[in-house]
This record gives sequence, structure tokens and C-alpha cells, in this order.
Amino acid sequence: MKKKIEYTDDLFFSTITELSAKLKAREISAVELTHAFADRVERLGPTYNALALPMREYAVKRAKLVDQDLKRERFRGALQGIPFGAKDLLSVADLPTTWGAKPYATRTFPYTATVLNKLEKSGALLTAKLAMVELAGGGGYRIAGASMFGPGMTPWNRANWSGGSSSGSGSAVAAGLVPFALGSETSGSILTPSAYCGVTGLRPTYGLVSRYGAMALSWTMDKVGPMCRSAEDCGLVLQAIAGTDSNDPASAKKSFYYTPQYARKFSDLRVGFAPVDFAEWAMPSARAAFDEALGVVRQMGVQMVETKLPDYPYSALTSTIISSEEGAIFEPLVLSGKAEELADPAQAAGLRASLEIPAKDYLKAMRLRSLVQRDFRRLFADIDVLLAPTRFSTAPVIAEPLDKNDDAPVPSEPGFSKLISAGNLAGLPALSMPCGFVDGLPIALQVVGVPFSENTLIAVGREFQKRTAWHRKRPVTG
Amino acid sequence: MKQKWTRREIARWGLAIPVLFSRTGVNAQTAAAADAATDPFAKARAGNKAHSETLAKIEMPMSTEPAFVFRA
Repeated sequence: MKKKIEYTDDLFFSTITELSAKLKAREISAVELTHAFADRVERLGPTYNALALPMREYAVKRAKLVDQDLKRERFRGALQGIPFGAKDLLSVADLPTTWGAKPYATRTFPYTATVLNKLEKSGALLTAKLAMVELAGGGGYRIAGASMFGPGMTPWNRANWSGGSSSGSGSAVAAGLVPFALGSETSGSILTPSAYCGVTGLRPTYGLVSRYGAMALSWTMDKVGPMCRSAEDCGLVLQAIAGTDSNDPASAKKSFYYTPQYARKFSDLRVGFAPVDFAEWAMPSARAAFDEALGVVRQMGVQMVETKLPDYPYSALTSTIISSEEGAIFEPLVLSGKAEELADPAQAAGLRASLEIPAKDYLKAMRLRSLVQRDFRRLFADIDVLLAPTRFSTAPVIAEPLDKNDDAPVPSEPGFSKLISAGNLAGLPALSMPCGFVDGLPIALQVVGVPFSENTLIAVGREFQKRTAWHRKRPVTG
Repeated sequence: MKQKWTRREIARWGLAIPVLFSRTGVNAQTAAAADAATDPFAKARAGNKAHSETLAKIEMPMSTEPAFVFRA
């Protein structure tokens, strides 16, 4: 006899593996699960400004087919029958894809993003499109409210920002509105909301996951990746979305198979870190929690090695490359005058200014980028992964400008303070995992590795999450 | 030449002179900084210029090619 379904937090905060077991055991059907999550994301999504487009009908239609398969014991893997959300920069044929920006509020495309087609093939059910910072932050945003959906809120405290630009993806996973979500990163847009919302996010190696059907912000830096409840879930989703795509010219023509059991033994793993990150860069109230997290990594038996990042002006490089490429991409928007409709005037101004960047600056930055890649290859000859706080502080208060601390004094040693920029420039994969709480808000560690070392990063994350319960913490939701 | 100035005239010129100087290049940097603080376009432009100057200072071999992604 079928068990009575209990729609409790235990269900909504289950991992993919746990939900998959319930579906296989026929404790719950894919249609029932889809309705349960659709109810929740429709009811609570607006509370966090996380919902862009409810897609219940779309998901239920596909869930019925999944249930037929499950009934006949045609199992297609862990994602079969699992609802999920996607950042609203990924197109679904003939449905609105807003890129979080008012000028595109009614835009539709005649095709569906490759990653969404791949997830559909694995049986996952797109239940909602999720809010984001307008144009994924193109032009440079200065306020949390830089979105047609309003400021993204972390479910841990609605007065604080969810992080961006994958803001809805972060808060929806954290609040148990979807079991997992897709986000995208050009420079920090998966890692930052993962840290501020307390979820586990994976930025894949550049080229591993197709961007076809995703808004372009910077052709040479954009990546699409999963935001989940655990490192293991990130591995399961990455396996489904990675792989060759002839529609994406940057496709690395590689697949990914989630096999962390074959990653290097922890006793052989050399973990590079910079003590100054934990002692001086981290906000004072977070230092004890970061130290404790560092202690857990040490207890895993890895070799901790003090190291430094190659010395480059990472902010100047990242900014020049992204601004030059976004200028070319959004030139029609600027020339039409519609960029002025963006919620943050700084973005419209930034896009206008980006049209003036000389070609020599872009080329110089791209030439230096070759050297950055070369020097990271050299660094990784002696180190397997780099470890640092994902963000040095907790989620900022929404009411304050995001650049209010830009002129604050900084420690004399740079440590890994520019690791997000550097990692994105070099196309490196990264995993962000929750590692503690400060004043009720989550903090996180990032692990960064050589290109295509996702299994190693996930193995580190999985082991860390076996030893801690930070990723299992749940915010109070309505 | 006018010998007596009212308080109001002194105050007006006191404000206008630095602005005049800044616009004529005497204090252009201060003016740019002031513009950047209030005008987001000027701020973005100043940021791009600063990045450009940072990059220009770095020397590298002529053989260093850009890191474009290109597949034939």
C-alpha cells in the first residue's frame, strides 16, 4: 500500500538522491512532487523576489511521462522526476526569457537552451524560471535592486541580499522551493549567491557546459552551472548538462562523469591556501568560523601548503574583458536608448562607457590573460586545489549600496582576495560550499582546481559535507 | 575695477572660481573625481581609464598572443 505523502520540510529540503529514492520506491509520483514544489515556489518565490516565471503546466505535462516510465521501471538516472528551476537567462522556446531586464520583459526565443534540453532528456522537470540581476550584471551594478524582479533576498534574512547575478537560483534552492537550480557565472555569479544563500554551487570549467540558448555577457568567460543542496547533487546535475554542443563555439568537446571515488587520495592532495585570507581579509566576526572550517579540511588528512596567486591586476583584466565584450553585445540596446530603462542607472552608464574602450585595451587584457593561464598551470604543478573563503563577509544589507566598502582599507598581502576574478579569467572550475554561520547568515569556502578537475572538487566537497552539517541547515520559511 | 564687493558676490565668486579653474584644466583631476562621484557615466569612464593605465604599465613579449577561443 502506498504511504501517505507528508509535505513537510523534510521533503522540500531533500537532496536529489533522497527524492530519487522516494520516486523509485513509488512513495510519491513525479506529478505529485511537481505539484508540491510548484505550490511552494509560487507561494514563497515572490517573498524572496526569486520567481521569474511559474511553469507548473509545462512541468506536469512532462511529469506524467516520467511517471509512465517509472511505472514500467524504465529508470534514466537520479534526475528522473526531479523538479528544478533555471535562471531566467536560459531560453525556453516561446516562453518569456527576460534576462531580468525591463527592456526584455516580453522577449521570447524560438528555441530552448541546450542545458534545459539535456535536463529534460534525463527526466528532470523545469518547474520555474528564476529571477536574476538584470543582464547578469552587465554594465556593473551598484545596488541589490538591479533587477526587474526587485532585490533578491537571502532566505536567512530578507533584509540581506541573496547575491548575484544568479539571485533567484540561490534563494530558491536555499528556501527549499526547488531541489536544484541552474545559474550562470561570468565572474562570481554562481559562487556569490551560493555563499550568501548557504547552498552548494559549482562553476564548471569554461567550455564544459554549453551556453547555447543562454544570454551572452562575455563570450570568453560565461559558464552555466548547478546550484544544489550538496556537492554530490552538483555532480549529478553536472553529469547531465556537460558535454559537446556544436551550437556553442567554445564547447570543449568533453563529457563529465560523476566518479568522485576515483579522485586522488586525500593524503596525497595538496591544498594551497593563504593564511592572510582567514586572519585578515575575512570580516572579524567570521574569522573563528572560517578557522574552524579550515580545521575540518585539515582533519581530512590533506597536505596544506601556503601559497600565493600569480601577481596580476585581476580586477583591471576582468573588467576590461567583460566590459569590451558586453559593449559589443549590448550596443543595440544602448543605441536604442532602452538601456536607460534598467533599474540601476549605473548599469546603463557602464554599458554606454563600455562602447568607448579601445581595442588595444581589450587585446592587451586578452594577451595578459594568456600569461595568467600559463602561470596558473605552473602553480598547479605543485598544488592540486586552492582553498579560500568564497566571500570574506556575509550577505550585504539590501538597503546599502553594494560598493560602499570599495574604498575601505585592505590588508597589505593580497592573499586569494582576487581568486574569483582570477579563476574566471583562467577558465578554472570552482565549488562553493557552506562552512558556517555568522549572525544568522551563511559563509562559505571555495575550492578551485585545474580545468576539468570537477570530480576532485566534488570529492573534497563531499568529504567536507560528510564531516559537517552546514549544508543541511534550513532557514525558517513561511 | 570694482572696489567694493558685497558678501553675496564674494560667496558666488568663491564657488565659481574653482569650477572655472577645473574646467580649464588647472584642476581637471579634481573635477573628474567630483564628476565621478555624482555621475555614473563619468564614474564608469574613469574606471575604464584607470584600468587602461594599469594595463599599459605592464610589459610583455610581442609574441604573447591573446587568449581567444578559436576552433577551426
